[in-house]
Amino acid sequence: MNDELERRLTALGQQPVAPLPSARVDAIEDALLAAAAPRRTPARTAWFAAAAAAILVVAAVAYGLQRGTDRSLEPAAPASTAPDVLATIAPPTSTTSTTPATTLAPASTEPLATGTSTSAELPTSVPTSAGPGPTAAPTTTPPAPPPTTVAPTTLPSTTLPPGQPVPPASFTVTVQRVGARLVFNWPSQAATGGTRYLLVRVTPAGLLHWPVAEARVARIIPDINATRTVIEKADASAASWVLVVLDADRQLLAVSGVVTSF
Amino acid sequence: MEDHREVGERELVDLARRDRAAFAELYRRHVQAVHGFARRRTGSADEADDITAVTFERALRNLPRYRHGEGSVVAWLYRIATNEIIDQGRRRQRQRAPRGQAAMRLLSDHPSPAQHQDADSSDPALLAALDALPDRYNTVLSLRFIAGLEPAEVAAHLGISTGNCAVLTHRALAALRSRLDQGVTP
Repeated sequence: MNDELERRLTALGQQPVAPLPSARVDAIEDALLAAAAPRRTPARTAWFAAAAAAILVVAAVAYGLQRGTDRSLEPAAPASTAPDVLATIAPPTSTTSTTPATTLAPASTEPLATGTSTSAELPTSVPTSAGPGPTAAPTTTPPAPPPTTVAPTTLPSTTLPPGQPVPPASFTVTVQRVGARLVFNWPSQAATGGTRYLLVRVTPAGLLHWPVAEARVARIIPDINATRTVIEKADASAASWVLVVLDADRQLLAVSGVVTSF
Repeated sequence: MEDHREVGERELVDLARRDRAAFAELYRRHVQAVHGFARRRTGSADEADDITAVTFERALRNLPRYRHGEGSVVAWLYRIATNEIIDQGRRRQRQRAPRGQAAMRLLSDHPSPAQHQDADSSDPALLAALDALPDRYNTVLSLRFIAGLEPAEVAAHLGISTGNCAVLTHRALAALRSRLDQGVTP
């Protein structure tokens, strides 16, 4: 009896299948190599980042305690002026203490940006300087900071936020093949408060978990007002896609329905 | 970029732990084998494509932990792919929960994963029954018969003796037969 089952299983294992198209082989390889790059960050850099983060947390807690103590000692009458004083003191302290943390956030998106721009060479590739990062922090430090020196400080992708529940699809994306390219269109999702879109390749079941493997991200669209993107995909094999909306902390805000390209 | 095409498998794995070009060569050598396995095991071209990408991403991350004594690299890759197939199956099950189904209904113009899976497979009933097995049974049958690994290699990857592997395979086949007799549907 088991012999017959073994035969069925073996036959399944020997069933001829079409090879993975070479364009897809190349695309996966590009994404893998792009994802591999930041993981080569020296351990020392990671330790520095962790130590700096710990110091910032301690400083923030200490500042919070100090602030709470000050307030508790304030008499009722000058209460209206005291917050103003605190507010004028707070910005320098808070900006200096949060600057490293906020600069890390966009940096963690760098591997995705470079990975996708190499896997799909298109004019709409993501400019690294256009990332939706912190507003004022970078402008205070830039006596000629070359972008390449920022790269080694990128966080490895394993520091992505922990798994989030995937919300139900809330908008529709359409896809159209134009020669070797796929053109995606969607209504602007600026109202969600997101800062960017990610075009993600998925199974027909859709986006089942977040975050996804970097290799699945086909394109980052850093402009939340964008309603269109184009990728190269010469082979006309079926592929399923969703567009996700992220905020500056890479939290998932909205997901489109699955769209299939051919 | 250095050419690693002439490098032996064992040396290539050691190089790939620290050299991206070597990992790329490792990927090139095995991508079609992994894809073929995933395609046969899932019956779906889309899923196989996805699983292939994830398998190599995990391999890249876990390569430092790979030990030569555990068997060949390709068998190790099959094992990663099998784990990912099982994980995806579990996520699909969650999608079929009432809340997940409501979300799926929104995507009404799209076939369900089960429908899709059946569309490409030559033996959908067998795949569905495999999916319904406990993970360990699923793994041993996938590696032994669909990947075509030798019993000793399957045993090495599961961390058990060859004798135990034979017993596990026998029980897994019995469980598979039972599922098929019950007419398990995906």
